[in-house]
Amino acid sequence: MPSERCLADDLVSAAPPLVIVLDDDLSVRESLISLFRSVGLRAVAFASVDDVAREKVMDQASCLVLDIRMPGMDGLAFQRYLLSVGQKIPLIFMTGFGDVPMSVQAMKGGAIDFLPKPFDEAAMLEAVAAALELDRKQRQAERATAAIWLRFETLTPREREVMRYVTSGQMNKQVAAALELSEITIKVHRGRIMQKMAARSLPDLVRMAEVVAGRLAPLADEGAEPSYEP
Amino acid sequence: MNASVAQGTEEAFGRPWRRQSRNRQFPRIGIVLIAALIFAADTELPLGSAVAGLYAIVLILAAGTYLRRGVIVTGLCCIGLTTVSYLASQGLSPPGDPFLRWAVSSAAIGVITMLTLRNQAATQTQREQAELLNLTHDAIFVRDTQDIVTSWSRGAEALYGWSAEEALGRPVQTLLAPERPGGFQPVQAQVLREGHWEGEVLHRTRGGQSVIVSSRWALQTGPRGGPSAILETNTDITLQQQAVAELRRSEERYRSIFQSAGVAIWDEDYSDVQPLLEELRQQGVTDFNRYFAENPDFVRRAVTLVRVVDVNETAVQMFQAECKHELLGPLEPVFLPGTSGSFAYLLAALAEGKPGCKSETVVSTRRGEKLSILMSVTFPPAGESRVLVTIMDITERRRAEHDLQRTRENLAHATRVATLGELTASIAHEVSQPIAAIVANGAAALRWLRREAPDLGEATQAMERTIRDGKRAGDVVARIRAFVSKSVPRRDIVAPRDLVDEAVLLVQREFQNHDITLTIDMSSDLPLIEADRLQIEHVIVNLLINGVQSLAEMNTSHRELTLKADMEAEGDVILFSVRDNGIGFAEKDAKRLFDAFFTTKANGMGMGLAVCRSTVEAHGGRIWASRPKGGGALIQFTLPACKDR
Repeated sequence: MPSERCLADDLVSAAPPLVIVLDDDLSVRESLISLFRSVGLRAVAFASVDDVAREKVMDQASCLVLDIRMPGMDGLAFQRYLLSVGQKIPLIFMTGFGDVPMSVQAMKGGAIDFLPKPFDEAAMLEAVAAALELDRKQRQAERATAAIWLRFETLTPREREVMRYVTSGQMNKQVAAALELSEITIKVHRGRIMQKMAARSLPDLVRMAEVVAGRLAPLADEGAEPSYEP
Repeated sequence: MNASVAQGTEEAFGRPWRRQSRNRQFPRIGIVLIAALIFAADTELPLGSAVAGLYAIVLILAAGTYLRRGVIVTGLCCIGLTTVSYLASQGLSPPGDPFLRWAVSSAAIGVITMLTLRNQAATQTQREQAELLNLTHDAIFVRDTQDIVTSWSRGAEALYGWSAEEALGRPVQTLLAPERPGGFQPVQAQVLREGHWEGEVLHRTRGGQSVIVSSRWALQTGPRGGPSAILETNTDITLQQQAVAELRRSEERYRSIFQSAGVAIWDEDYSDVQPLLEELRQQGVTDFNRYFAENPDFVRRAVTLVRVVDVNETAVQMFQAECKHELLGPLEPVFLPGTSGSFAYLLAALAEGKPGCKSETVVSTRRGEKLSILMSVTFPPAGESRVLVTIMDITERRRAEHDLQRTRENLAHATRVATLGELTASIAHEVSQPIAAIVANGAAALRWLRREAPDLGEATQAMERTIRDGKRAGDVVARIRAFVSKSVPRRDIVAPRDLVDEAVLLVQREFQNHDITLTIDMSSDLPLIEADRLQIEHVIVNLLINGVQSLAEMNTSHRELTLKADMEAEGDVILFSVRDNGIGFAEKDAKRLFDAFFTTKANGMGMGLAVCRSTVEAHGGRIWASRPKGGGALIQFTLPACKDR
């Protein structure tokens, strides 16, 4: 029988998605690991939140299947903690006793599903699949964001400045006026920005600007009406 | 004093016993003086010997004063004095007339002396008889034809309180107010006709008290043969009469108790059984219980020899007989074959000379119904063979006890179910946990098998876990079923630690859910206890749940529940303490906590602690609650340790 430790070690080879099972009951842990592995998922199980924290596997996990009642920190408290630290891992709750207020709270907190024990294995696998899909999307989005950031890093300070003005909806002339540059220069900058950021269109660039908004320099006359005066 | 009546009685009873003159003696000096005067006259006067006759006076007086010898001496002296007088006046002259007078005088004095002596002897006899009469306790009096008392004995004085002086001369009616059923007319008639009568009469004493006397009347006849007086001899029989009446009342009371008692009473004759027992004793049998157990034939034979002499009304009704005669005779038909044990026990008690015995058994009525009875037997003193057996029908009591017991069990059961209700979440979790694992393992096993290259190892492991978890689920269900089962009360010898562990198992999940730290502090060398395992576990579960619920309401991270058990200082008692630092209870509620229907919970039934108390008390322990200093509640109960271990 593969031990939980061995499964944890498997993580290094980071191929299929990793499911973390969090339940204080050994039988549940063992059975779920076997179930997930039988469908080709990697799975690792822990008896408490403390154990998970110690192993530092959360970043690699795609999905967390956890019991709502646990000794120490319970499922809902863990959900709140994860939200508070910006960890968006999809959660699937299990409970031995269908508790409506608890399930409502769990779902409000963004849980994928709430499965009363004993659950139908198909429902569990479906929920896990949904969680993995969400995770995949989230990871994809993250990867996209990361690419934007990488590209953004290649922009010169002036280009970032121009990008800021362009994506705020100003015309080249207005940008030129604001930056006391010629309109031609702005056009050149703009072309280079579009190229470096791999933006297909201005709206595409605007979306990218939203991702990196924090790093864009504020407009010189932020809050003022755009001026059409020469 | 009425001398004429006294005269009549003297003839029959000697001298009247209350004569004022009786003890008055004539002074001796007077007798001597009279004798001297007579002597002087006889000597000096010429009247001659006629004077000597007067010596009779001296003798009569002497008779009242001197005893027999004194009278004889006096008589001789008188003769002497007469002789001296004769010699002095006549000298030794030849006998003539004076001599003749002297001779006659001397002879007369001699005769009077003789008569006086006889009279004195008779008087003495009479006096002794009178003393004798006075000594008797009987009240003796004489009344004349007008019912006037003419004589009154000391016994009468003592009995009636009237002294002789008061009684004499007064009518009997006013003194004694005699009464008898039927009046005195026929009595008077009988006395006049036959001369005597005997019967009981009611008299009143001077103080007004009633005395019952046994009265004997005897008619006295006068000189002319007619009735002159009636002598009554009355014996006080009041006490005797009271004793008889008391005895009669006692007998009536006994009959009345016997007849109307609410218990059946059997008067049985064991005279044919006792010789058999005596025989055994002579054979050297001492342990009769054992002998009878080994010789059932003896017991069977003995039953046939017991005869029912009498039974009361209750017995007739209890045994559904038409009349008491159905039950009289041999005892045998009443006893069931199964009751010979209790009869043997009775026989043994009888043989061992015990004053009585008690036993419970089942007998059959005349109509074949079974009766649970409590038999209480009183054995007679040695030498008698009548045995009184009182029988109480305790069928109803047994039934009531049985019903009460069942009600108690049902209540305990209901509260156990209710307790489980409070544990629903925990139980659901505990059952669903292994079932969830079973489902997942089953599904996993199937998937391992359905792979293109089936992984038999993984599938096997999953199936093994399925079986393990199935058993675990079964255990949980069995534990819950045992907890709510309606088992008959039983006594197991159990280790206190086992009880606590099993109880904790049921509640464990609650501790986890509410973040409660349970500390169990029990020394390992606690003695075993004899208890109904389930019931005591229920008590512990109840106390733990109360603690959990109390702690759950606290807004604190520090929730502690402690279960302690150790020996009490006195020795053979184990003290269990369940303490929490929860919300506790109000001081005023401490006494009511264990009352039925008392609850501080919104949804509580108020039966939990009440059932705890009845359970603990049924096990010979106590349970109480207190408020520890650090807050929360402390519930403690005791259970007696098993003595023989």
